[in-house]
Amino acid sequence: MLGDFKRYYRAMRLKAVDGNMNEEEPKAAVPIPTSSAEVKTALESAFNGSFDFVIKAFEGDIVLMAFIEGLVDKLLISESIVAPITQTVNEFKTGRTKEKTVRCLKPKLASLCNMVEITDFNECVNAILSGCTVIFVDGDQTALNIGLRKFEKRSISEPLSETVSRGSREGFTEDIQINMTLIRRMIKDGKLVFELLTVGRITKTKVSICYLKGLANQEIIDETRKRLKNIKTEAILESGYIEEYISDAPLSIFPTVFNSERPESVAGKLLEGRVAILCDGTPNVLTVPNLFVDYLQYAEDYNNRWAFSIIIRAVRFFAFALSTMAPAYYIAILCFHQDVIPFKLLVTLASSMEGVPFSPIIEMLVLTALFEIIKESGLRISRAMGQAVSIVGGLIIGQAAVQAGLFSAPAVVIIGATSLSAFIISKLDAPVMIIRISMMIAANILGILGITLLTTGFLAYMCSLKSFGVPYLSPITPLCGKDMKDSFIRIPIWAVFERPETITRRYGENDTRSK
Amino acid sequence: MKKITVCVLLSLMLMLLSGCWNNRNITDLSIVTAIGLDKAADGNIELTLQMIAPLNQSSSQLVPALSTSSSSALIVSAEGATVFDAVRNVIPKVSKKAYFSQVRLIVISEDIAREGLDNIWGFFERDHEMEKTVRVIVVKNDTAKSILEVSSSASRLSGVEIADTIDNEAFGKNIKIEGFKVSEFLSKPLTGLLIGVIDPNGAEELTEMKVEGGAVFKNAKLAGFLDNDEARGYLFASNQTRSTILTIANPKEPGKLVSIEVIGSKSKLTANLEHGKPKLGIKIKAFGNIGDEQGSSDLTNFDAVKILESESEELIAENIRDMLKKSQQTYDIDLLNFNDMLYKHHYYDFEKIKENWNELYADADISVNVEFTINRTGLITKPAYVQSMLYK
Repeated sequence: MLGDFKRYYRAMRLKAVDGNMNEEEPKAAVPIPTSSAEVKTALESAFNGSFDFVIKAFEGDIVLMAFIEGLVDKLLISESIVAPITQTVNEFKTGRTKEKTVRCLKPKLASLCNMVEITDFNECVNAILSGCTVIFVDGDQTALNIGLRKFEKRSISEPLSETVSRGSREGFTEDIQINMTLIRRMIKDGKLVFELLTVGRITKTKVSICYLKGLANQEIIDETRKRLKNIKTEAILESGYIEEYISDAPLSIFPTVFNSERPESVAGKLLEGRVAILCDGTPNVLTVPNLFVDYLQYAEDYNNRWAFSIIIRAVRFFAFALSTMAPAYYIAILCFHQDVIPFKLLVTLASSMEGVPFSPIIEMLVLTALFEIIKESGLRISRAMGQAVSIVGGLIIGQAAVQAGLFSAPAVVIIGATSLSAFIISKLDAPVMIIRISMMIAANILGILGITLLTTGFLAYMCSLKSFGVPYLSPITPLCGKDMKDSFIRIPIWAVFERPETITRRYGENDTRSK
Repeated sequence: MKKITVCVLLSLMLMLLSGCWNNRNITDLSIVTAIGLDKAADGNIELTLQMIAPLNQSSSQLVPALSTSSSSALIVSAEGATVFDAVRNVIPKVSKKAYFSQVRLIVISEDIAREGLDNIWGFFERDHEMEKTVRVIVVKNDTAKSILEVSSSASRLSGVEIADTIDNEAFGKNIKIEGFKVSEFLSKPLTGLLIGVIDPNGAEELTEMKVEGGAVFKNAKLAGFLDNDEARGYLFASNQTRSTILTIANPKEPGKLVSIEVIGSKSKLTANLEHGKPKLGIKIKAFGNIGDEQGSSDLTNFDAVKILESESEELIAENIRDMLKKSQQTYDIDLLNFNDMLYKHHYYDFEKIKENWNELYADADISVNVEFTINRTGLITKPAYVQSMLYK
């Protein structure tokens, strides 16, 4: 059974990301038809008569202008394209210009800098799709591609998922161009390089690799580029799609790709020598390699004083431990190790558990499920009704359930503390959830011994993970003393002289990353 | 592949075959707070368990059982030939399993104590649930059962209340002893064991019952009792005094008294052999404050303090001497563990006299040397009340 699964898994992976299989051959160039009537027919069949596709013909098809409505700046087009073309067409007609080619148009449109000549018809179609305006001239096999994109987009606003009390309020938007600008504005150096790729056969999503040349490990850059190019899919709608395709361990419960909505934190990661992946259509920018400690760090740590940052990072780590272990220890202690509870606490616990019909494991599982339901409904419900969720959730689970004697008060307290802690490290939501529930079950079977065994297992698993060749648990294991300066603690910024070694280190020949 | 399957199967078996080993919900346990041991009429051991009867919290009143009156305690008695037998005989009487890890107090009745601790102590040493730091106390002139059944005006379980009273070291005249120390003393045949005493003295209320003095055990059998001052002497000598009040005469005003609060004491025992005879010594360094004074005289001058100090020294030495007198003459048992010091430092000589140590000890010369220092006089130096215009 396991073997079948493995075979199926391998086949799927190969189909999705392997570079050697199903290598798509570049489409052969199709010349642009000579007569404008043919061009018109070809374009219309390419767009299947879609309503938003517009062809404007000048003076009986001597010049054709094609674009998609809504993607172009109409005002600019009428001012800087339509007017000069009308004039040139008149010249064509009167015969003042001998040859009727695209080249004659070019000087008239000189005010537009974003102008390219193309001869491939498919390229024309793609250009139109991406929001360019393409001009064809009857009898010329060359077309003129003018980039005058303009469409409605969200303005830069504060990211809702990563708020800070001190630091930049800017967040990435859905437009990759703006996102690149935001990063460029932070790092004004020629070393900052953006590479543009297109991923997704149908969506043709623009994806950009961003790094600091010379600082980032070239191997990681190459590896990222390779993995992105190997993605074989129809659609990339969000960077989450990319994340799943390029992860080192695709089935891992731990994310090995980091994402952020804040230019400040992405710039910080770039300066550490990491590689960022921007994806058009989403404000979430990915960075690789990604280590476990990254989830305990926030951009704000560097804006606050170092001593405070050390404490707050310790709090986050404690929150991680609490959110994964607290219910498990509650179960283990109540069911197996009553002797470790201080006497007075035991009496309080015993009296609050008296008459509760469920065993601790059932209580914990049901409360966890209820809490997840409240959380999810709070996310899905419209803002206007959000209040209702908190009232119903708080009252039903918090008070009524305890008063009715369904659950014990300590269990509700534990679940409350656990869930609050999980909010602190919200990016690790999925692994924390899985660990928490498996810990609970282990605790119910073997007590603290079970928790210890499972912790060992999870640690071993985390040790085996790698993100783009960098061990997931570094700088703890493999131990790198220098990198400890900015990991679980943060020493004053002026004392961090070096870039993290784990990220920038050149890995040797026998590294198995590319497998 | 096969290996992985085998590993997964094995670990699954580990999980499933171990089952719910020892998985007991807290609501299925009856938490025992105190154990009482009495002699039943037919010679059996009568065991009394004081257990918490937790309040149901669903009545939306989250009152911890700790703060409820001891009527919420569940008292169950059962008889048995041995302690463990009696423990098992409790089962038919309560639905929940009696849970011993949180036992705070073991109350031993005088009858059982006179018969010997060896009859009852085995269970407490052997059972894995028993906490080794449990407090042990002997009840004088009454049954252990009646102590555990008594209601406490402090509105707590009497077992917890007594255990906490034993722990309070400010009185300085009661013996605090834990289970593991009892085991330790029982392993030393030449040393006497002292266990604290509770004396109900016919009282019905727990607040009327005093935890004071000590019960002397010789060869694991109750031999007699030490009174308050002797117990204080024992505590001073065995380096267990944390605090106590010494009340002595006011050196400046006849008939009036001064109370000195001892706030620290260190004792050093010495044991030597001279010509086959033990030469033993107790050296004590203690210090304290003037805590109370009757009268209006100023005690802050050098002479007065000197007198106070020497009077305090005398009082401590007297307590110790009283204790030693009982130990040497009445019970013939070495309470301060001098024999162990000789065993450690004069092994070969001690081996020769080991056989008749008790007689040698009874005749031994024990020097008592106390040094007392008064450090402070409390918040004031002179009392506010002045008898005449002339300052004394």
